[in-house]
Amino acid sequence: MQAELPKEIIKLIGKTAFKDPSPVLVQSGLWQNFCSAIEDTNPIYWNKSDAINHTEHLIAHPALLPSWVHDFEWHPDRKKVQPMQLHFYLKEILNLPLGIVTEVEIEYYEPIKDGDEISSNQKLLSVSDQVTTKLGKGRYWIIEVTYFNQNEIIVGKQKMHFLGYK
Amino acid sequence: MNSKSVLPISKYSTSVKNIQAGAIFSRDWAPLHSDQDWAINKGNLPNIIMNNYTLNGLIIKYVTDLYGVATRIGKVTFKIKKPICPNETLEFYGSVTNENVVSDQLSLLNISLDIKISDQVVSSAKVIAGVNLSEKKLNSPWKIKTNTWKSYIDDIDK
Repeated sequence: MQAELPKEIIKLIGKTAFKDPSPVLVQSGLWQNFCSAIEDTNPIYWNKSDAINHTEHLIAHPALLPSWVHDFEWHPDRKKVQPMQLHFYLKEILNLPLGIVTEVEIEYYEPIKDGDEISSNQKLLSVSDQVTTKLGKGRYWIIEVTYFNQNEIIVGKQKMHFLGYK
Repeated sequence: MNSKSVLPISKYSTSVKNIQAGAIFSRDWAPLHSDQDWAINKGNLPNIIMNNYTLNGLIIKYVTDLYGVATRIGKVTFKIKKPICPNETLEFYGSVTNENVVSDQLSLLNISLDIKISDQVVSSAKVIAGVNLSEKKLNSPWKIKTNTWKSYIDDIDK
């Protein structure tokens, strides 16, 4: 028999549940460290004279869009804000202590540049019926994260597909 | 580059250092990507594993390496089928599955990728990218206004 979804989860579907403020200014040195790690030579991340013909500025590597709302691991003035709080909230309420990402969809609308401040909203799109997988019994869910710049322009959107299980 | 074609294979060698660096520099502090002791003894993993931002970075790099600085990435979708650990050689196999010619200066490409380790697919991906395949590089896809760009992604994704 299929266990019903708790009411507090049903209420969340389709609504923004968590908002992440910008924890760090976007800076070229931060994204260039990442480009160095993956050996990405694209001059649009490195060389202003090349970038200016396309984007007018150096731009951040697109793969880092979600990273700009990740808090510091340690900060002198505040406790760390957990990224993807909605995912951890679902795990707790559904009593599914383990979780993995099964699929990522990310759309890029506006390039991110030095000095931008990126914030985000997390919305629950769906939760599946109970499933039995190789990893255990659990549920799939999809969370949509919308990313904004400091001018409240939507710069990108991500759908994260998770499996929560035990 | 022929727009509708099987694309060249690209390789990337993983190491403890570059998996850790990819995670840390993408502000992903989860220990399964950077702490070998935690990954093996608490995470029940063979070693630290590549995080999804690094994998996405490598997928985007594969496309921009092929089509150049003007390539504008619109959407990336990927699945992780097997964890990616240090001391492996990733092989990126790509093909263009569709070309939507918007103008003589802009084509929207659908690109499919399989990422393999020793012939086993560890991740599959789909990318929508705007490129200028014209001999005359008069306009960069980056010059397209945000709302127009978003409508292109929405249309091609239907």
